[in-house]
Amino acid sequence: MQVVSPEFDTASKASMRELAWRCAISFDKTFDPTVDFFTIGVSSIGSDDIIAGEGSVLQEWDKYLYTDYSDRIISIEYNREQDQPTGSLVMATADIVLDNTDDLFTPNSDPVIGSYILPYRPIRISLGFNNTTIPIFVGLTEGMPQIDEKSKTAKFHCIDFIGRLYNRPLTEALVYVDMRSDEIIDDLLQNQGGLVPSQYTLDTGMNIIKAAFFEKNANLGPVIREICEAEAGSFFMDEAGEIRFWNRQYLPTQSQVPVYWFNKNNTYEIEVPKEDLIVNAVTINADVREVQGTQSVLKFTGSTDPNEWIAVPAGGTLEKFFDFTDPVTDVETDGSAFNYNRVANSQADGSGTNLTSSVTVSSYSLFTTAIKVTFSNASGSIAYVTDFEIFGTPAKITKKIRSKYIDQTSVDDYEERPLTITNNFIQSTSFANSYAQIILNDRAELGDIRRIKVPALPQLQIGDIVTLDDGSLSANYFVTKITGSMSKTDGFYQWLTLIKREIQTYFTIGISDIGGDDVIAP
Amino acid sequence: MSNITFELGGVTLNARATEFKELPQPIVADNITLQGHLRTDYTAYRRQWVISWHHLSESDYNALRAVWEAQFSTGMYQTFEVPYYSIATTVRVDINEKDIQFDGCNIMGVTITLREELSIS
Repeated sequence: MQVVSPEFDTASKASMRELAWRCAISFDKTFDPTVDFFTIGVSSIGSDDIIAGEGSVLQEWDKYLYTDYSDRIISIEYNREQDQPTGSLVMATADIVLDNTDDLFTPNSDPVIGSYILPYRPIRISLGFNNTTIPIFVGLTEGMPQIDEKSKTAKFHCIDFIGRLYNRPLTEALVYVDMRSDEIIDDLLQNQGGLVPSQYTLDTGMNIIKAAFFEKNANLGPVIREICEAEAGSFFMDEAGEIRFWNRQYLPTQSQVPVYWFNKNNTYEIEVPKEDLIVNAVTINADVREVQGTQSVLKFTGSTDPNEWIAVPAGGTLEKFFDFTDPVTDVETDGSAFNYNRVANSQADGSGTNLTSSVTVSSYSLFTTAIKVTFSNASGSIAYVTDFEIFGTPAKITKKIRSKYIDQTSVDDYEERPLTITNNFIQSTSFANSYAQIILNDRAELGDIRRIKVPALPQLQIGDIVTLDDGSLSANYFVTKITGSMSKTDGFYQWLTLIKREIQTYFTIGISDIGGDDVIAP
Repeated sequence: MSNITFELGGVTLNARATEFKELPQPIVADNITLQGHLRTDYTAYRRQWVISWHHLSESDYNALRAVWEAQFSTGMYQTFEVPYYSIATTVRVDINEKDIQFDGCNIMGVTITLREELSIS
């Protein structure tokens, strides 16, 4: 739940509510690094300094110079959703419709902003009541606006910065050894996401990954999702634009007191979703790798296939790619020289003149699962490398985890609805077992999931606990998806997707009793 | 019955007080909870005036008709001022043509509806 004033909280729950909204866009993306929170006595009235919300952290995207387009808003819809069933990543989108009677948002129409009507313009949206708004969305317009000449409107589809980072390809293959989830995410955000540490807050991860590998050009979003899934954590950008990583114990250690109570008095609709969301058979697979000591990681002993020959031209060089059986974190070098065994001859079958002393490795590039080697041949005749061996530190599979749990009662009722998670960063069988059981506890029954339409409470956040009393059952649920809509004709409402979640109290050394109810932390 | 004098698009007209009605137009969205309770979100309200004449002189009618047409030819809302009620705003003018009857000197049963441009929040 976002922190709001008592007045805001009261107004949000009133039967008659005066709606308030704000939308600001930086079409020209003018960036002012000096922008700071407005400080009484320091900031000048009319400056670009921004008013801090409660608990706000100044973000880089706060420093764009925004123009207020609030008086043009016709409607706003937004969606904030945990990916299911693990909730590893939360992404938000927004669609905003603005009055375009004067063609202000028509590309190349307005003399000031017309040439800046382009994709990826920073946008901020806040909603509220009685002239007070709270942040709902910070992100970017994704594409060009959808201009409707008939209704004279411009519709912008927007994504948050997580969405922007999601498809960014890794610029190189990456290897992490014995690092926590947050340490890996921290490195990824800085070196692949272009962020600085002040832009995000990461819980200390509880999962130490012995060996994590990512291929060049893998997308950043799925990479972070995989790490978060193995942590049973969550990665997201909150409503105010702060990027967060929750470790697996964040939610269980928060207050379990519901932040709001919904019943038929304050709910417009209650839906029981279709059985599609039920999961009653969970399989978790992981091949855990660990980095080994230096050993032979690649051995070439010649080939009768000419396509596989390593034929280095006389006085020239040859680039050759080799695939490793296991990912390799490093190859051994001897000082500046590449440490390897090789034999080269003037004939491909190993006969002829021995040219071993003329053939060297002049350079190499390690790509974790492969290596590119450049051979140089100083002799005056073609040289065939007939034996070649590289030494390095491979990450070999040291443990195969196969965990499967079934809720037979649910299977009997709804047929088997399987979920398979394959994540090699899951490191222990106990975690896999706990994870599978948690998912079953949360998803095996239809009553575990509800969708409700309610008068919007913009302060509600993903992860909040609410009580829903539908007249026959009162239970606590986590908010896992929020779809909000505000227009002058339909008012301000939200569809909330609620999922029951069993709160696990994890065994903590020095706190939990031996033989107590606490379970071993996954 | 006293008359109310007003100026619409620069044309001064009179109407009987009983035929000069202000109808606030709240911009609201009503929703009903499952229990049947009403919940209302509102943003602002706009004013709207409905002014009727049993009969209007041909010259007044023509002037009124010119104001109505001017909003389309100029693309501008019309000024509307009622000093007695301290009203000074801009409006879109609708004129009811269906019930107009011409008896030679007067136009019968004229009604105009004035919708305020800007809302009051």
